Amino acid sequence: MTPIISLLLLLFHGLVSVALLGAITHQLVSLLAPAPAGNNRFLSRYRRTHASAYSRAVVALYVFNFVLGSVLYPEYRLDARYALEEMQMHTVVSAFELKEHWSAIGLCLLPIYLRQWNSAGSNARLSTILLTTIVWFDFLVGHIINNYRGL
Amino acid sequence: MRFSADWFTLGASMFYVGALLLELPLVHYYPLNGRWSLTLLGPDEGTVMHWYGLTLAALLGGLISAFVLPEQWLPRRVRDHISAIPLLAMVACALILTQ
Repeated sequence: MTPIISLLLLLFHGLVSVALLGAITHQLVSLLAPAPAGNNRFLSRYRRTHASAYSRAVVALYVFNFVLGSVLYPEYRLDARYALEEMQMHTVVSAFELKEHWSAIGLCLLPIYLRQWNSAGSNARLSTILLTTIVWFDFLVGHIINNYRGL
Repeated sequence: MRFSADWFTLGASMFYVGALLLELPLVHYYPLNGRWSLTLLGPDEGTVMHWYGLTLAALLGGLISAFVLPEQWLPRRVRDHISAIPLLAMVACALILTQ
């Protein structure tokens, strides 16, 4: 993969992550703290969103971003990881390893997350909290790696 | 053929943690040469990546579980707390990494 393609893919990976973060955080906030009726302040309107409408978009963005990350992963292994190890940044390397495992577990979680949001009477609270945790953790670790070493 | 979301999540999570714990990825990828292999190759091939093989094992295990195992075989207690399975898998992955 040429450096310019890697760079563009990384940029796109970051942009899709931001979209995913926005969608799932909005969904979680409206699930955990729904706004009382009649209040039209900004935060109340933010909390009053129709949370279940986000589930399909979240799944699509997650899968798409997972594929983008999988395509970019060899670049990290060949370029960034060795440099991080040479700089003795073992915590950062370990955090990335946890990110890769948790992102795969997130993929395993998607079918029940989707089913719980789309069937009446199901409680999607824990699956949404878990998926939000994974998405935020992956984003922050990826961002830290990017700040240190580009990929 | 019916797809069971519960069996997929349970099967895929267990296969992922099992493959990670036993170091049994389905395939190995050598990024230096862009080579895929079912077995571990020599050190001449450069660094090896197991994550694709682990993910593939999880997806395959999850899909087989989801399509083959009947929904009623899943104990009610597990079905009621199915979202806790990925949480346990996340904790297990973190613990395995500290070994």
